[in-house]
Amino acid sequence: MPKELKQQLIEESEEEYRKILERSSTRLSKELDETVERINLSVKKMSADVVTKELKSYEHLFEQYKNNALEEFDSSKEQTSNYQNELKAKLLEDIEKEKERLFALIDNKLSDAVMAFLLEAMQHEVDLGAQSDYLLKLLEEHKEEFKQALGS
Amino acid sequence: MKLTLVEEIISTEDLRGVIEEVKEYKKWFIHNQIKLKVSQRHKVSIRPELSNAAEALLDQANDGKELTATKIEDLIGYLEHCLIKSPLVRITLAAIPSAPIKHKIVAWLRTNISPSMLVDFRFNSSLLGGMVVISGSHIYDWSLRRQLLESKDKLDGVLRRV
Repeated sequence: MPKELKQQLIEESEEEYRKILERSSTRLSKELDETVERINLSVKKMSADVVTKELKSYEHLFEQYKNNALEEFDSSKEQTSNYQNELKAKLLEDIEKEKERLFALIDNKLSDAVMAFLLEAMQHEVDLGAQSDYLLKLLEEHKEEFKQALGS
Repeated sequence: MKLTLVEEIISTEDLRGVIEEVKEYKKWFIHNQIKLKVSQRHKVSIRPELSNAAEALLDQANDGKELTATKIEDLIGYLEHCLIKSPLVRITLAAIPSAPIKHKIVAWLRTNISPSMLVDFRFNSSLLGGMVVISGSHIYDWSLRRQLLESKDKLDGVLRRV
């Protein structure tokens, strides 16, 4: 083969090869871009899914914690209210008892005062003459008791 | 011879006093009897003055007949027996009882409880009225003060209504 032909064939081959390479490179580049694009999309979608899933999980947890907290708050509120009512009732009961005690004390003191007054006022100038029938009546009323005591 | 305690003898002190009186009388009586036996010309010594109670008892003892030393001795024996054996009560009144009141009470006791009962009277003005009777270990508080104190609970109700 002549050298020029060979040279020409080589150059045409090289040109052809170069074109093929270029076409391949372009196609590869295009496919690579598409692949990257697809991968990006997938990654984005996966990330979004993960984030959404995590957010949902946090939301669910938050909701649970919120509900628990609210339940405990309501329970505490109810307990506090019950305790307040118990204290109120106990206080009213104590006040009532103290009132009764003071009334009884006052009554007792008044009774003592009246008794002391009667004893003091009546013990002077006792008239036995006026009481003589009453004294005999007392003896008569307790005659049997007396007889039994003397008998024993 | 039936002997009973006269109304003037109320307490043990009264009885002891009368016993002493009768004993003294007995001494005089015997002494006088001896003097008369020895000689009718001897002066009779003055009869000792006796209380109404002693006189009444000596009247009971002679029973309308002549009094003898034996009868006086029997009387003393009866009175000493009463001193030991008679039931004794202590009655406390709200004031010092007069003689009529004492006699009334003692008469009732001797009629209804025991004919030889002896009574010691005391007084305590804080009783206000009624009496407290002590007989042996028994105490009977029938005083007005006790009635008032027992009615103290009713006084509370009255005060609340006033």
